[in-house]
Amino acid sequence: MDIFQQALTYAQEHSEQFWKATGEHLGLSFFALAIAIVTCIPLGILTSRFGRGARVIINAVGIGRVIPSVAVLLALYPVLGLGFTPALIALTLLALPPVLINTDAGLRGVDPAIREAAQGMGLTWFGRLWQIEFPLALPIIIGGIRTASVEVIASATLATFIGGGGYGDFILQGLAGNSNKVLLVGAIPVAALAFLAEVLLGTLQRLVSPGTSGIARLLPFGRNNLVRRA
Amino acid sequence: MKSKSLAGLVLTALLVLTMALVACGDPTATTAPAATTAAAATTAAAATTAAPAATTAAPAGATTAAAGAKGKVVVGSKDFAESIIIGEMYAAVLEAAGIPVERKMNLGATPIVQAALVKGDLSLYPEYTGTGAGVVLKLTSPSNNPKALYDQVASEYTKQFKLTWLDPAPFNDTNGIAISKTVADKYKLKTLSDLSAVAKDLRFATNPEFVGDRSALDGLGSLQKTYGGFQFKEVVQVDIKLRYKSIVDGKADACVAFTTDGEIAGYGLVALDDDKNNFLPYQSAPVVREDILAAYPNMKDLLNKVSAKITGEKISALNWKVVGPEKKEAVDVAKEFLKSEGLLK
Repeated sequence: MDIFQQALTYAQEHSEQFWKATGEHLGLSFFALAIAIVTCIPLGILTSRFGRGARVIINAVGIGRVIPSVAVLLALYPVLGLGFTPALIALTLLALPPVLINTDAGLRGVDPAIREAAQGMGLTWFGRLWQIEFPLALPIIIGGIRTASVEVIASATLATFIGGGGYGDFILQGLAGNSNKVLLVGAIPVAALAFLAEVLLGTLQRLVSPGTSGIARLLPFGRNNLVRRA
Repeated sequence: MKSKSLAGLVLTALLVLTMALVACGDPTATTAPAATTAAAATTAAAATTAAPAATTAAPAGATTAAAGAKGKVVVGSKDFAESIIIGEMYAAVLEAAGIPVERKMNLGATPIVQAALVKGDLSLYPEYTGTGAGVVLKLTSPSNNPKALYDQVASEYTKQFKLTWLDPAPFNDTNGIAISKTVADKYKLKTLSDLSAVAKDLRFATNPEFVGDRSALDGLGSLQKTYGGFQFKEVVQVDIKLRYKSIVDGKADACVAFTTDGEIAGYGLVALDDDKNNFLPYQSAPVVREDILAAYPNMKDLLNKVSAKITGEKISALNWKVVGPEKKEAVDVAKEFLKSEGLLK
């Protein structure tokens, strides 16, 4: 446990630097996710209405996930230079695909019988989407956001390569200087944040799942949870 | 869906696992007797860094395990131009003398190459006395005298790791600070003393090593102690290769410079004089496994002849040939140099 004590002491001694890194890491992760949510949920609604043509859009966005973030960072830096913005762009590219794919899949997964019934009740296009399909797809959409957030929080560690700051500053200081305690000052908060995002969004996902009620929603491995996550 | 949330979980689990590994390694280091602490710490680092190294060094393990029985000599280097060039010089002269050589250049930061050398995946690589003192041995009071530091480091390496430091090259690739010509003219800066006071108006780009744990010994912390001031308006940490780009791109006004970096002259920057002798000496020398030296006794003489020829001016020029617009291959630059010095036909 000694090494954790040393890491804590180091963080306290460098508190200004630590909080700056915290702000940068949260800022990068938050904005990347926010951009992904704002753009990809509407885009996902659109693609779910199209037939096979939608695949083209989804696969195009999916490229962001195939290219390693480090490569994106290093490819972007001659164009955009160093700092926060290029790092944010690289992370956003990573956050887009899960949100888009899940929104599309969630909406496509709505039972056609339900859709037909809604139509039969005389609901408008928007009414059907907003009152019936979107709530049914919501657990899957939140699942996408959850995947994206964990990926983004972990990958924001790479921003340090191009001067984007974040906890990666400490991790690289620890690696370069052969000091595990400094490495932990960066690594522990990253792991904790990723874990927190996973738990919070996982809980939210359960709360919005239809068919769950009462205390069962809060149980981490309840019956519905197993079904909805699959 | 399922596979994606799984991926998230796996990612988290991996991070936690890495932490656990790092954490588990160290208590042994702190409970070990004082003399072996550094050794234990490096092996702990080895445990975490060995994985990526091991994947690239797959065939090396087998060959070097039998190094005593005349296996191949595996020459390594770190991941920046100067280290690669010097590594290629070693490889070229050994090869020319009929010694079977395998190259493993561009490996990574100090803990990685050091671990590989101790483990036997590398036979030798070029290291700097200041780095050996600060990063590997973590000496608390390293000497500021080049010769004394070399002796200190060399004897500790023999004692702790059974590694031999051959003769150092005459050049000193120490830390420094470079600024743009504009900033130098505007504030009339020539020395680090001049810079210490105006630092508060300037943005500073740094590699991780300069501001990390060792900063108080040989970095920003020691600058602040020696000169006072040095409270930069902004400190931007970037990858070691992007320090100069930060200035060129206008994201920083000053950056960490290694004094033999080709970029200083190449980009027309001004390196400030360390007038209070703050930084440790960084002389480059081959660090070789003892069993390899025993197997190839003529190696010592071959490598010492190379080191003797590498002066500061020459290595700066060679560095710029690789990182500058010429973009030459380090191996070619190294061979050209050796030919011009009469060490290679």
